[in-house]
Formats: sequence, structure tokens, C-alpha cells
Amino acid sequence: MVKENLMDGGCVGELKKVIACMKELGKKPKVDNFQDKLVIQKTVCLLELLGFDMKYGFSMYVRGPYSSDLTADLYRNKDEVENLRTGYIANNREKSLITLVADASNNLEPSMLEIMATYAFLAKKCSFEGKEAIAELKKIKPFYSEAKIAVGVSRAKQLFPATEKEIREMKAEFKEMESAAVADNKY
Amino acid sequence: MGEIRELVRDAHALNSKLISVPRLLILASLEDLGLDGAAYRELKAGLEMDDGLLYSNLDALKEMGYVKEKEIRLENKEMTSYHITEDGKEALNSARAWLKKI
Repeated sequence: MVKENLMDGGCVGELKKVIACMKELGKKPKVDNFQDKLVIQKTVCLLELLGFDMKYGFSMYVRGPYSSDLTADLYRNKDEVENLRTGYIANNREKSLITLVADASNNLEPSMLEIMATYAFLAKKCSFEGKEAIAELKKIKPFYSEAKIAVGVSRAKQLFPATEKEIREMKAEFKEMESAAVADNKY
Repeated sequence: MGEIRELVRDAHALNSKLISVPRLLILASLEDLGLDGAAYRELKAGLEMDDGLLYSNLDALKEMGYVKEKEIRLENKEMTSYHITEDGKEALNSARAWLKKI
């Protein structure tokens, strides 16, 4: 249902690609369902960070990374979204990115997606590096356990290559561990 | 003197109960989230407010008709989320415009 011609059949971003993703993932989201919208928001955020451009600008809100344009498009095209109507077919590269995100997030578990997307957004878009990004993530999402955050961050890191600072931090950590091991052997 | 008269005149049109840092922060944080709103726990963490401060100000904003709450379900957990109303957006914009004049 086309209501206004903004960019892509009444959409601000490329909703046809978002719907194609949901189709690929075997999801049939309900636009009024909080959890379904969260899954769409965080999946699209991660995919955009990985280079699958769907033209949705994400910013940091109290909910973590969020696109109000995406929400507006979902509501304006509720029927298309809920019935997975799209003429777009993801190409092989896009399909592999979708599978990557689905596998890393325990098949789109909402809390895992939320942790992964928030960490990735902080690291890639907000110039937080390594431990700083984790500290900020814990401030924004203090209601998730340390264990869950550790798993989410590690899954997010699998999706993106480590930065130079992260590699330096890892080397420093290994060095500390090595020194501790050598000291243990002395006694 | 003309400017202060204008400020006073515009102040009469404002809801002075809204001019408080926690209330303005809550409305500003919900402004772009539309009907999705934010869960209580997200507001608490994102705005760095304790329960007493957040609850009392959310209650006041609900009474003013600027915020509405609804029950949501996330991974089998029931929680409350809050979203801004059209009146809330209007009041926030008026407050923002008035504060800019000061």
C-alpha cells in the first residue's frame, strides 16, 4: 500500500530489503508486537553495520541503537511487513550476512541481539574501543547479567574483525597471564 | 523590557509543572521512540535515575497526559513500557522553544 512517495514506495529506507531479510530468516513479524519490533530493529542495525545497506540511520537512544525511520516504515507498511510482501530477493552476499547474524544470535534471541547490536554500534559508530565499549554497554544495559553480556560481546566480536586497539589490549592481557604463569612456576 | 514581557507572556502558556530536569529528560528520551516507547528498565539505566525519582516523575507525566504506559512481554517477562503522547510532544516543543529564549 503506497501512501506517499518518499524513496521506496512510501518508505524512508529500503523496507523491501528488511522484509526480504525476515523472509530469509523464516520470521513473520507482527508490527504491534514489542519483541518482534526489537528483533527487526537490532537485526537491521547489525546487518547495516556489516555493510548490508538498507538506508536506515541508527542513533543511540535509551533503548540502545534505534531507527525511528525504520519504525515509521514498519507502521506505514504494516500489511506488507506482516505478510512478507516484497519484490526484493537477497543476493548471496546478503544471504550470508543474514545467516551470520542469525547463527551468532542464537537464531535471533532478542536479548542476545540487543547486546550484540549495542556493543557493535558503540564500537563501530560511537568511537568506543575495546573495554570502553563494554563498560558503556553495561551502563546502558545493566539489567543483563555479566555472563550474558560476555557471551553477547564475544558473539558480536565474531562478526567484526578486531581493531588495532583491541588487538593491543588482547596482547597486553595475554602478557599479564603469561607473567602470572611464569611467576606461579617459580614457587 | 520588550523581551521580558514576551517571556512572561509565553510563560503563561507553558505548563510550569513540566519545567524540571527529570521530566524534560524523560519526554526528550521518548520523543523519537513514538509508539514503541521504552521499557522502565531502559529509562532507568539510560537516564541514570533511581526508582523513586523515575516513578514519581513518570506518574506526574502520566497525570498530565504527556506519557502513557502499556504492558509488554519480552522473552516471557512482563514489563511496563512508556511512550509519549501527542500532548506530550506539543508540551515538550513549547518548553524547548521557551527555554531557548531565556
